[in-house]
Amino acid sequence: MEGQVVAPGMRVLVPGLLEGALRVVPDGGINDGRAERVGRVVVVEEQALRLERSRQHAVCPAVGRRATGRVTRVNNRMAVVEILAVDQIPVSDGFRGLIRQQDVRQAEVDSVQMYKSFMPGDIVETVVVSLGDRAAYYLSTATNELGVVHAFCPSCGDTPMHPLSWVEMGCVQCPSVLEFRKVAKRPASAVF
Amino acid sequence: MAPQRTRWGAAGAEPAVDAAGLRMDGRRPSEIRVMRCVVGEGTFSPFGMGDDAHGPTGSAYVEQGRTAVLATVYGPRERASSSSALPGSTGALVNCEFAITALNVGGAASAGSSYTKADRRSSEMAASIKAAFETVIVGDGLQRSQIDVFVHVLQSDGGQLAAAINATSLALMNAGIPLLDVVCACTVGVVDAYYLADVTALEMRFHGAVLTVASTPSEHKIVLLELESKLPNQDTLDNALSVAQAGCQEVYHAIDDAMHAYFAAVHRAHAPIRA
Repeated sequence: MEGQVVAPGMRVLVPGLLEGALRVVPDGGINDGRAERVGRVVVVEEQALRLERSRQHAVCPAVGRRATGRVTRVNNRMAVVEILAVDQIPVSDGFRGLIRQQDVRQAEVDSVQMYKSFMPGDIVETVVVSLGDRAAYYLSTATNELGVVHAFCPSCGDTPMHPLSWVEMGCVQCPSVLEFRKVAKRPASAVF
Repeated sequence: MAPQRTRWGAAGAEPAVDAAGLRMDGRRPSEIRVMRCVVGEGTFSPFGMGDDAHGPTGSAYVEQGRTAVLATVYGPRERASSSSALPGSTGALVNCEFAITALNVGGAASAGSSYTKADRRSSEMAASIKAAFETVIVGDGLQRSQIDVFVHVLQSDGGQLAAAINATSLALMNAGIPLLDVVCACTVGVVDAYYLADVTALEMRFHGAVLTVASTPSEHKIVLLELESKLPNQDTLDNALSVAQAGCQEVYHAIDDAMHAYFAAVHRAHAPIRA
């Protein structure tokens, strides 16, 4: 039945799961017919089961996952990012990520200028490409949907800028401000 | 006139189990003490969780009779660079610290020495807790991360390790760490021919063997077994184990109730992020 509340180790009792009629979402908190976390069982699209996501959900960055973070430092080879959320779930503690020059965009990789792509304080949407070295995860913004989603105007300081093109952002308050960023293409429904 | 019952009276003045079949505190031999669990006090924050500024990711307070333990979980967080991060290692590194408040050492430590964070018995306890949980934490999604568990015994009346494990179980679940199963622990004291589940410090004074068992309730797998003295034969061990397993099952009911109560309370207050 949908809505069963489970604790780790409990069998998920949904008709059809044992018979194979239902699938289980990868990383959905159900493993081998048993729950891994405390939560409610829900059915998502196409007869697939998962545990409801909640804030009580430990996540870590892993290859292929979306990581949202704040840029803390930029130099001419890389941008350092403090990862705040993975797959839109807040992480419990600061994980550090790096966006290297070659991972900023897909085309004209050699001519990427880091200072024209990111600035400290920007909120970026990235994907984890590698567990990286001991110090940081390697992140990439090399698709249209990834990049800076939120940046503040350097002139007035607290107004979020809006994208003007895929490399520029502007401020509503200060018409003279034109900032260069690796801008993420956001769906029209996005909050940012 | 009935003999006076003193808290730290000499062992042997009273039998472990009296003629009515009851123990010194009125329990039957296989009965565990009353358990009270408080989950997630102060861990939930609308700003996210687990940031040191916002408190631990998960926490639990467990009382078993007069033994009281607080467990807090931080993480999964990035591994400290100083820790031995083996290049090939996968999964989460569990780091456990065990401490006991100095003021209740009198009854607990039979040797009379003080427990501190760094002493040998505390680190042994920490190692046991770590070993018990490393087997059940699912490390697939937690590569290269570290989970810190801090266990604090606030009040000690026997069965500290078992209570610590039970509290850690709840705290890890509260933190949302994926687990294969809950770990429940229970002690059994073997005194004469009696198997006393969940022994108190007073009952430990009979100098019987004390067995601590941690097991998983759904598959009855034993993840930790500690025996501090010899048992006469295999049958004694088997009997003690089955009493302990039954005790673990009782513990599981208490843990499960606490977790469900907490889940219901959280869900009333906060809607899930998304399905």
